[in-house]
Formats: sequence, structure tokens, C-alpha cells
Amino acid sequence: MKALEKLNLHLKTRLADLSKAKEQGRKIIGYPAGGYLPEELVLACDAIPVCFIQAGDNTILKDAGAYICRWFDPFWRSQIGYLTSGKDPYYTIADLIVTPITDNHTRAFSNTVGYYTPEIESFVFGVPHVKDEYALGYYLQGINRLKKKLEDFTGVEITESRLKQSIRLCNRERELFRQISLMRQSENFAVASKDFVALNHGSFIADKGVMVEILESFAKEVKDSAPLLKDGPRILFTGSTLARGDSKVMDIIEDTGGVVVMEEFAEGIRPYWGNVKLDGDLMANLAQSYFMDRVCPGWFRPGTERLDFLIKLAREYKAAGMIWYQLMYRESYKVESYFFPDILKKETGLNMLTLESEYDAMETGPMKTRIETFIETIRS
Amino acid sequence: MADYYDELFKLCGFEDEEIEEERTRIEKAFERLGIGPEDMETADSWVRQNHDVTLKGVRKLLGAWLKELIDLVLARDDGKKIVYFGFPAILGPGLMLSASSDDVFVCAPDMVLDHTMGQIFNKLTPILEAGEANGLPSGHALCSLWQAKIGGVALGMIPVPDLALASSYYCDMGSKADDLVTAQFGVPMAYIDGVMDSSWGEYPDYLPERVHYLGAQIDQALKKAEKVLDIEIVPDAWEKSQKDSRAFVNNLLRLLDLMRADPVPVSVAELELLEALSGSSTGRGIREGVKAMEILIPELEERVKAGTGAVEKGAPRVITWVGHCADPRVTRLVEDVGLAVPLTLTLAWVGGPPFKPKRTYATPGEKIADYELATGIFHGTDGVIKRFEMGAKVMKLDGFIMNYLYNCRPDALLSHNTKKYLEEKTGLPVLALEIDAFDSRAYSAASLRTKVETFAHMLKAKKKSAKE
Amino acid sequence: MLVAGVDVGAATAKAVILGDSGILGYSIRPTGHNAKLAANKVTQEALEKAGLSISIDDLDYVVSTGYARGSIDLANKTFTEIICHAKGAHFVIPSTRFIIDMGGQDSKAIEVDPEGNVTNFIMNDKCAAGTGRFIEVMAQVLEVESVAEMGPLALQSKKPCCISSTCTVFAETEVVVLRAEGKDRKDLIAGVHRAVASRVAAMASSLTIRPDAVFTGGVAKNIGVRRFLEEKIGMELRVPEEPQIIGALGAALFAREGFKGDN
Repeated sequence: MKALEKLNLHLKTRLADLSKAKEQGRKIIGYPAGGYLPEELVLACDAIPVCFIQAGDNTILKDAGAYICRWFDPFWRSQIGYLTSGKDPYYTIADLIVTPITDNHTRAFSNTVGYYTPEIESFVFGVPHVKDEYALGYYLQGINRLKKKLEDFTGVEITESRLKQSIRLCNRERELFRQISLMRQSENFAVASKDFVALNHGSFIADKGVMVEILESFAKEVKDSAPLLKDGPRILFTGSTLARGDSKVMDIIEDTGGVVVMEEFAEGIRPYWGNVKLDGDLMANLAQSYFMDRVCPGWFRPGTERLDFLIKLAREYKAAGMIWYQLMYRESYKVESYFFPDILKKETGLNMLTLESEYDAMETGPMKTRIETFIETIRS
Repeated sequence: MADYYDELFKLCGFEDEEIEEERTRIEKAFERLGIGPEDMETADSWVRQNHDVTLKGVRKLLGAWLKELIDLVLARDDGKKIVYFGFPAILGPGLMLSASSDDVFVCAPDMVLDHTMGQIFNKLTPILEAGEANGLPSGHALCSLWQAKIGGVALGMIPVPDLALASSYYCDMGSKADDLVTAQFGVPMAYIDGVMDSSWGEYPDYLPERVHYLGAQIDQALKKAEKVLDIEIVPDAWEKSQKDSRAFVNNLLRLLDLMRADPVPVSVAELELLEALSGSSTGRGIREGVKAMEILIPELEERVKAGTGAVEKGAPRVITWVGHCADPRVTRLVEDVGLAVPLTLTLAWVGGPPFKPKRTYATPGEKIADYELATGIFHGTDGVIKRFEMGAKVMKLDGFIMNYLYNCRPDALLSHNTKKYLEEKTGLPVLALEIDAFDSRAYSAASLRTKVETFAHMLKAKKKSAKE
Repeated sequence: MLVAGVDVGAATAKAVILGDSGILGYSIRPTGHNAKLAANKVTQEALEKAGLSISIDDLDYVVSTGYARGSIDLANKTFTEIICHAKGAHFVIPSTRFIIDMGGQDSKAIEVDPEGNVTNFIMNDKCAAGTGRFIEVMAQVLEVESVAEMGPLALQSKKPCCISSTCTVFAETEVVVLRAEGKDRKDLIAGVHRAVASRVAAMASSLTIRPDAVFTGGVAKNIGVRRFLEEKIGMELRVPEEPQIIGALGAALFAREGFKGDN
């Protein structure tokens, strides 16, 4: 069976598996997307991490409307809708919801958890918006408190050996994602972006051990496969959030003949560029890797590290153009999308297309027009 | 020298000799701001329509804002080292910089533009449109306060600063818009970062780590400011900076007492002028503002003695969150429909439980951080809501008007939960009113009227039946 | 005593004439571009329908409501449409405890105490997707001759389409696209009704919905919206005989009080 088929099969029974695990006394730790929760800590106390990454269907936004006004990122409003409506079974099955507080949109979500669903056990810790020694220290104390919370909640001590074991597993997952992603730097590659994204999205819900196996299979498959026959322009796809269930932009790019060679999203794509060190102070290593080494998302101040990284990616992946896809009202990304195109053009000669979404089904038409036009201009 | 602006400046509390002294500066500033003789009639009627100019203290407050505007526009000409901070700010660092050197000019330029180009000249729209055209377009719920800053810089009305003190502990928009200015003009930035990662219900408690982090960021920002501005923060900078703010707070307590009267002696539109000034200026504006309060308070004491005021006696009394910074018609709407506003959140803070430092903190930054977290607004959402709850205990109220800013993400977090929370905890009616506090184009007084009027009707009916 | 209540909304103007014996007559007409003129005309029409040959200037007391209430010269006093809807609904259905009002351009939900006083309310005036305007636009798109036909057609569907666009403009495109894909016209009409009802129900659910829940406004005549709303809020909605004049009726009742107060 092919790797993606294995993944789909695994995900089909995932809820049933999680229920069984719960019956056996294991805890399900739910957390919203953003990449700042070290899953290693959850795994090391024999709990199961599940990332809330589903969005794209705007009917859930009506549910959210009873809890928060419209002027927030629709991904986070979707999470509010799923949390409060019971329409996402991953929310219902979670025993504890941990929210790393990044920007004010995650606060909208964590406020809702804290105020409107106090019966659900919850924990928050903060992610600073700047990168310096004090910020690193603050993030570290946050994950140290998280460690204590998880230990108290599960009754399982996160020992050094357990933590090392889970770091190894998560490192392997990151390595495989990296390995697969890097294949796309070449002219001929067999990795379709939609498959890569599906693997990412799947990894947020799947059993970690199973996921690593699936990634190993996939890496082998694509290594041995004939390259994809795509002669369309190479696209660097970036933005705020790429949710599971929000494929419209990728679909249109594909239909138009564009070939996505790299995806950079803070929410929706696992940060896979570096590993967590295994020697020395493991908590400090987690903080270093998850907070300092990881290229910052757009809401960091300044966001130039990410913008420089995008330029680097554009060069390394020989992009012919960049498509910047963001969600409405995510102000950090909106402002950056204003001044970044000039910088990108100056540094790389590349053009950038900016798209915005409120998950409205009818955005597809106007988006198609824009993407088609963009692809045509960069094709020539 | 022209004198077409004399009458307006006198209306705004300038003495004759002050106008003479400032004449050259006024005209230079007006040229940059695009203000001319053709604007005087509009400004005159706009000020008279929106402010109680029978009160000398109010006229002096308007004058204080004008002085701040002139200093802002001409800061570069005056050879100042210019620092802009993001509103709402932890004002401590700005005050300390200002107190350390007469060569430093520190303010929130957008607030100054709103209160002068908006509230006095009614010419804010072109500035907002320039902000929209330069990185902060309409239709995306972006902060209109920052549109004023970007627009003001883009139009050359206000100088490009030497340093931006980014308030990175509250909103995401502000720092990013500062990044925009940096990308365009290369302005050095000092981010004062913090994370509002309190658990719901935690307020008034907070972890010492939050104080350490925010404090370290403040200290770091001050060090960067010293470097960039080539100044030294004097050892008694904090004490010096407290001189004006202590006078201001003492006067607020006197004001709070007067606002207990029925009828309330002054409109919340005038309180807005006062409170916003204290959060936007570290220089002449706030010093003149304190002087204006010294004049205003005895005037209000007279009103209280005479039993006269801004609304009818017996009007239902509400607390509001914010007044409108640029269009007082929105602020006054509450009073126009027959409600009294004896309490704002600022007055509630001074009247509420006194702030007690939780621990002994080592650095000025940590002392400031401790204070700011204790006062609630930078603590988290439930911190703000609880301060409102406390407000109802400071003085007897009949209801709350929770006007939340649709385009301020931390503020819009209050949109639904505040109403539910306050209604359950206090039993008082709450109107959750979505506004834009810096731009009344989409949220005009007329468009908000139905909701506010209905709320007023509810409160009046309730009060009437309570009496019967 | 002869008093009138005039409700001038963005789409329609309504007037109710009250006499000593009760409601004597009423009228509804489009507001058009001149609210003042519409107010005078609709009041005159209401007088004519009441069989009274007096001029509007001879009325004893007039109260105006609706978005244009401030510009009606005819009026002695004004009250907001929320207050007037509560008054009017409570008058015709004294057991009213909750009102959903859907007009051409805004929608409201109102909690009412046993005396008919407003105790809580929420109003949406920033979006056409939860108002009568949405239905009107879709009637045109789906080539339904009269808006009045939309409701009954909606009820004939067994499988309403999902119309998910949050914007009326986008929703129009969505409906056109779905029609082109061969979706049944009745299913689309039902989908439109369900979408509008969902939006208004979501707004209303931030208040406490208690029976008797009453549905007022022009859109209350639409059986399709009514059924979907009832489904969403889980409660039967009572609809007054002429739901569109409830605001004007409330205003007329205030006018009666005003007249009695003066005399």
C-alpha cells in the first residue's frame, strides 16, 4: 500500500483509536496550530498530542459569531466555532487544551476556552514576539510550567530518558519532512505539494510512530519514482495559515499549471528545518529549537527574519514567483504584504501575488482570475 | 504676520501673549499641516459644537493639545531627538526619556493628530486616507489610529522619528506598522515586548515571570534609546517623570469626587480630552494639561454647588470604555440620549482599590511592569473586564456601555464576553457597542444612535419603575 | 383622540392610526429617496384607509421611529424602532418575551419583560446577508417574479443547498454558479432562506430566547425564513397578523401615551 493510502486509512480510524487509548487511561492533549507546543513533552508523559488544524468551511463561522465579533482571523474563529459547537470530534475527545499564546487571534481562542468552556481543562503559556535572551527565557519558563502541568495531569513523570526518546522520535519526523521537502530543490522531483501538505496535516493528528513509518515509506517512494511531469512555473507558497480543509488555493494553482515547490506557513505546516539537540539541558534545547532556531512567523517583531528566509527559499528552490495567501484580519501579515513585494523584487527579481480569504466559497472565482493571470505573467 | 487664527486660538485657551510668542511656530506648523484662513470658520463652529467652551479649563485643554501639535510638527525644526511611542503605551519609558533631556521629544503622534486635526480642525480624513494608501488599506479592520500616524508621516505633516518605542505587549498591529515605517524610512525600533498569557480568571494575580520579562524589555528599550539618541537616562528620571503624572492623578481623584454629583458637572467628551492627553504626551501637552485641570476643577466645583451640569438631574448613570479621539459627536451621543457618564475606566482606576506592588522589584523596568500588570489593561481580557466590574463599586451606576473597537484586536476580544460577564456579575444592563474610536466614517454617531438611544430608554424605564 | 405612529425604514414606510376604539387603519409604502415625503404620504394613506378625511396636521399626536425618525417634521416625539417593536409586539401578543425583527436592511433580537419593556437587545446593521435585502436580491437572481413567492417555494424543497458565502454579493455569484451546475431552483431558494435564518439565529442566540418568541418585520411574512428560524432556535415563532406594521403600531401606542400625558 502506498504511504498516503496508509495515512488515510490510519486517519479514518484515528478517532476510534483515540477513544480506545482514553479507555486505557491515556490522556489526549489538544492544542491549536502554530508550532509552539513541543509535542515531545506530551509524548514523554504517555499522552497523545492532537493539533486543531481543521478549517476552511465558513459555515462554522456562524457558530463562532455567538462568542466573538467578526474581526478576527477566520481560522481562529473556526476553532472557536468547533470548540463551542461540538462539531469537531477532536475537540470533544481532548482531555486538556493547551494554547501557546502567540498573537491576539490565539487569545480570542484561549479566552473562549477559559470563559465559555470552563468545564474543559485548559492551560496557556506565552510565546514572546521578539527574539532575544529574555524572550527565550520567558518561553523556557512557559514550557517548564507546561511540563509540570502535563506531569500533574497525566500522573506520569517526564524523565530525561522519556524526553530523550520522544525528542528522537520527533526529530526523525522533522528529518523526514526536511528530506522530502529538499527534494523539491532539484529540477525534477516526485513530490507533489498537495501530498506534502497532506502529510503535514496528517501528522498533526496521526500517531507519531505510525507517522514516522509513513514518512519513511513516502520518502522511499518519491526517491524511486519518476519525476512529476510539470513544466509550469515554480511557486513559493507562503502565508499565515494553511488549514486542513482549505485547499482551494492549492487546487487553483495546480489547475492553472503552477507547481508549488515550497510552503511556508506558521500555522498548518510543521516547522521541520532543525532538530532538537539531545545533549545537555533538554528543556533548554526544546526552547532553543522551538523558539529561537525556528524561523519566526509573521507576527514577530520584526518579521524580517521570515522575510529574509522567504528570499533564501525563493533562491534555493528556484522559484519563479511567490504566492502570499493570508486570512482576513490577520493584521501582521497584511502589513508585511504591503512592503515585502518591493523587497522581494529588489532581492530576487520575483513578483508576488497577494491573496486573502475569509473562507468564503465564492472567493474561488476572483482568486482563479488572479492566480491564472499571475501564472501567465511569470510563465513568460 | 497673519492673525487669522487668533480667534480660534483664544477660543482654545491661548492668552494673547502666548499667541504672540508662538506666532512664527503656529504659521510654520499650519503650513505643514495644510491649514489656512479658509479652515477657521469650520474649526470655530466644530469646536463650539463639540466642546463646552464656557469652561475655561476645557478651552485650556484644547490649547494644551494645540501646543503639543505645534511641538510635534516642528520637533525636527526645533532640533529635537524625536521618539514616537505606540498608543496605548506603558508610559514610563517615554516619561523617563523626556525627563532625562530637554533635547528629547516623546509623544504618541497619532493621538495628537486625532485630537487636533480631528477634534479641532475636522480635517482628519485626508490623513486617514493617506494612511490607507500607504500600507493600511480600508476594509481590513486595520487600526485607524495607526492610519493617522502613517498618513501623517507620508504627507510630511509630522517628522520621521529618530526612534520608535513599539508597544509590543498589547496589539500586533502597532509594532507591525512601526516596521512599515522602518521599512520605508529606516527608523530604529525598540520593541517593548510582553505576552498577555494570563489564564482566564487569573486577574489580579500574575506570575512574577511576566514582570521580569516585561521589565527586562522596558529596561532594554531604555538602553537602546540611550544609544540611539545619544543621551543618558538620569538617575532620578523616574522620580522626575512622576512629578507631572502624580499631579495629574491627584487631580483625577478630585475630579472623581465631583463626578459623583447629580447632575454630572461635565461631559465625558471633556474628560476624554484630559485622559487621552495624559496617555499621549510627555512634554508641554501634559504639563499644560495639568494646569488646565487646576482651572477646570474649581469651575466644576461651582457647577456642583449650583446644581448644573452636562445632562439632566436624575439621568441614568453609565461607565464607558473610551471616548472618540477624533469625533466628539460619537462621545456625546451617550449624553445626547439622556445618559450621564460620571465614570470612565481611567477614573475607575484611580477610584478603585489602590495598587500595591506585589514584590520588591529591582529595576525601573520591573517596577513599571509590575504596576502595569496590576492595573489590568495589559494583563489580559479578564483583567479589563474585572476593572469594569470594580468600576460599578467605585460609584453607583445604572449600566455599562462597553464600546469596543472593531479594529483593535485586543479590544475586540471584549465584544461578547464582557456583556455576558458584567450582566451576570452586576445584574446591570450592558450595551456592547462596536465602534471605531479614531475614525467616525464607518461608525458615525448617526449610525450608532439607535442602539445607544434604545439602551438609554431601557435604563430610564428601569429607573422609573424602580422609583414607583 | 386620533394619533399616529410612523415607522420610516430604509426600504418601506409604515403608518398606523390609533383612535379611542383601537387601530383604525394602517398603510405601507416604499420609502423612496425622500423620508419626509414618505412619512407624510404613508400617514395620509393610513388616514384614508381608516376612512378619515382629515389631514395629517390634524392628528393629535405623532411618534416617529425607524432609521429616519429624526427627520420627520410631522412627529411630536421619536423612539427607536427596537423600543417600538417591543411595544407593538407586546400589545398584539401580551405573552411576548422575545422578538426577532427582520427588516429590509437590519435585523434585531429583543428580550422583553412581562410589561413589554426591553431588557436586552442586539442589532445587526452592518451586513445585508441577514436581512430582507438578501432575499430580494436572490429573488431577482433566481427569477422569482415576486418576493412573496420565495417562502412557499422554499418549503417545497426537500434538500436545501448550502449557501455559505458571508457576503450578499458573493452569495449572488454562488447561487448563479450552483444553478449553472444544475441545482434545483427550489433547493437553492431553500438554501437562501436557511442561510439568512442561520445568520439571524446566531445573532439572536447571544441573548436568552424565551417563549413566546415573536417574529416581526416584513420578512416575517416569509414562511420559509420563519420555518428555518424556528428550526435554528428550537422554538415556535408567533407572527402577528400584519408583522410589518408592529414598529409603527408601537410608535402609535407611544403617541397615545404622549397625547394622554399632555392632556
